[in-house]
Amino acid sequence: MVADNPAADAPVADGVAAPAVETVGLTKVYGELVALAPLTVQIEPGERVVVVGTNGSGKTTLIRMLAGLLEPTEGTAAIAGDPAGSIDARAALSYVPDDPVVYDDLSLAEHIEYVARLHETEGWQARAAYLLDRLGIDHRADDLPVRFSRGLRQKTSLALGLVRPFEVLLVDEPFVGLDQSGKAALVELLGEAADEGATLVIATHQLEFVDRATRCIALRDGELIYDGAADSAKIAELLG
Amino acid sequence: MHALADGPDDGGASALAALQRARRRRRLAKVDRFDSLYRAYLTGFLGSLGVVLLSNIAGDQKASPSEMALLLRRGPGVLGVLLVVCVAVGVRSGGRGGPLALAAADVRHVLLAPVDRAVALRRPALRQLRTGAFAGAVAGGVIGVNASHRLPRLALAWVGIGMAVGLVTALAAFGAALVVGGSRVGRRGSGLLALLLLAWSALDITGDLSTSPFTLLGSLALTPLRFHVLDLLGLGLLVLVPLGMAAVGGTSLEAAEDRSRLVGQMKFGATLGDVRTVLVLRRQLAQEQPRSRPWVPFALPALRLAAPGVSLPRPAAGTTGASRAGAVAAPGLRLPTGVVVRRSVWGLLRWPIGRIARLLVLAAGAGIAVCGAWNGTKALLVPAGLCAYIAALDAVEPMAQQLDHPDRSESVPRVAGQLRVKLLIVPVVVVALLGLVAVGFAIAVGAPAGLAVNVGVPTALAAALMACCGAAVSTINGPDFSTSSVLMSPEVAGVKEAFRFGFPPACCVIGLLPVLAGQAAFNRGLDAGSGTMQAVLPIVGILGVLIFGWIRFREDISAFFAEANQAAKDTSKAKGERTSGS
Repeated sequence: MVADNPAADAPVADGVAAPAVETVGLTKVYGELVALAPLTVQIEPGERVVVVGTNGSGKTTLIRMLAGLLEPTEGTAAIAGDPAGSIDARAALSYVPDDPVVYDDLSLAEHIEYVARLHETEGWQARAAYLLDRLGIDHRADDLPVRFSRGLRQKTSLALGLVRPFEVLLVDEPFVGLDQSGKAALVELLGEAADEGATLVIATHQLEFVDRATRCIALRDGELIYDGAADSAKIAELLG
Repeated sequence: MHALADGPDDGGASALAALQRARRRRRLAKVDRFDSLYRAYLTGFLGSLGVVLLSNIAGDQKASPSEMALLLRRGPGVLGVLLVVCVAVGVRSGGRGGPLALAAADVRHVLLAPVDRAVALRRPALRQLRTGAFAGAVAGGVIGVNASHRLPRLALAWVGIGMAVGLVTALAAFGAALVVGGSRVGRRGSGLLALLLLAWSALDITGDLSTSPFTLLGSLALTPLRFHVLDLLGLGLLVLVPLGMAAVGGTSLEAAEDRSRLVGQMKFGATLGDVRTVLVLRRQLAQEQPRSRPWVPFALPALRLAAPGVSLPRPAAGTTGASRAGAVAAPGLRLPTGVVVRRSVWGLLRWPIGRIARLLVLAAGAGIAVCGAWNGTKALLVPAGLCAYIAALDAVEPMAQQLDHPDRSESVPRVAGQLRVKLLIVPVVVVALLGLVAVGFAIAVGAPAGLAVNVGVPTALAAALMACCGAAVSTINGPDFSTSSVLMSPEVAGVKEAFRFGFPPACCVIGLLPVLAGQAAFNRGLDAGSGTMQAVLPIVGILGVLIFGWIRFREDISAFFAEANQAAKDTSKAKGERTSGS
């Protein structure tokens, strides 16, 4: 998607991995509305980053640009050294959207197999069974997710995001629609992913996950207002 | 409001009438007379043009004595089946809460008010009835003109009887829909009723009987050739209109609300020429959902779930998911075909019975129309192509699902074009199989079996490929939101729009052209099968390959033109700067 990407083309020192996520002056403007003011950040592999902000602060815009779904007005974004949206970036990045997206004509199990095999995932069956069990939707494996409730579709979406290989996990508002047990299971699954070395970027307006993160990026009206240690008390104060 | 408050105590009927009068007054006050006259002129002009064109599709070849004898013997029954299909569509619509399409505000404010719903719904029902009756009469008239070209007697007689039968059919279909919708027969009941009506008419054909009112109406349509007093009993179907008006108050509010939302969106989608959106909304309107369980448990996912109550251990690190972090590479550029074919087959195995029945009906229609084209009415390839187009729009569902969910597609580390092309493999096979069903129907209506197979099979394959090409182009293109048309002259913009709308169905008609090549070879005493194949090869080899190439390399082609455009702009700019500098 991004052809000339200085962030992606930046020289990498021998033996040093490229940043998991890197944006250089990443901007999105709709007419006169600045959805995201020029943003330059670098997220290293293994970091657990939470992107917080009130409604309309630019969290989803940032996440969707990193996923390659929105084209930046200016600036560049790279995932594991590859331009956001490129095939290599798509291989490295798993994106779980805020609005669960499922096919109308596939069952939950069929969704899982289709996504896993499109990503040439080895040993996906065991991983899928584990995820469905943890998320409490294994008994619905043969049902059509399009007929699920919002919460069950969110769990489906999370399972699809976690069943495939990834280096960077990008999750937009993961807790919306989940019941308490679902939230707890998700927090544990995200922790496991981080333990295994994945980079987590989680956008949320809820501050429950902040203390589990290693870094927090706060946005307000499209502007970066904080980038530092994840301290929920401080963030709550900042966001008012 | 004062007038409403002072109205008689008639259960709100007078208040409703006053409200409707006020809305009508306000609507009329906003109407620009010149604009309305211009629109009426355009509608009249285009409508007349359409009627003239459609009225001449049959050609002037007079029916032979044997064809006349066949028409008199089988005509009433076959026409009866065609008419009953129209009414069955109405019955099915009623079963799903139709046929009324109300404004959302009317559902919320009028139908929830303590007003007699029969009174409130009668006026919109009459409005829709009027439109349906007009359309039925026009369609009947067009068929009448076509009949007059090939059959003896005055053209006026054929047009008159065609209009009358078309009018009665439209009224009966709408009345039946109102009766079924108002009496809450439901989807299953209405489906069964429609099947019974069809079976009754089919029995009339097989037994050369005239017991169904639709057969009688079909016989009435042949009045210019001969008149039977008993045929007038077919007009008894008109009783469905008052019955429907009496039952309209029972229309389901839930269905009315759903329909008001979906019909509004459908109209908007149709305005944009967004065939995919219209198709999806039509499915929602028809409550056509994928089956919960596949028809056959074929190639089911290989998930090994835990037994109830047993918690699974966390898989060992280093196999999949985040445990492969740091070792993720883009998969090979070659997309595995198996997974895409399996995905398509899974979707196919969940097709609801209604969709399968519709596809079989379309196959039958295409087969019979191609037969008619072989027998002299070449223009029947157009409706046959349209049948193939509609069937292919259903068949390309796996690819359409992929396009409907860009979030999912964007997360797959694959070239989008490869995925699109491979998702067309199963649809082409499905439409080809439907083509073989169409050949079967052609044989059933009298085509010699050997000839039908020799010509029909290669044509079915070419038509399947081209129909899927057309449907894929239409689905991939989607609605045109570009503003470039605004800057074009109406003539250029019109041609562009006509191409955009017309190209996909035209592909389907082109796919059927080998039939004419086969016919030409047959008429010259040559082998019809070889003649057909000679036409199949260039159609598939050139047009099919070009379209598949566009589907595969669409993004690359766009990028190439964008770059070329930018390069031309840069060159022009540099030239301008040099000129101004010198």
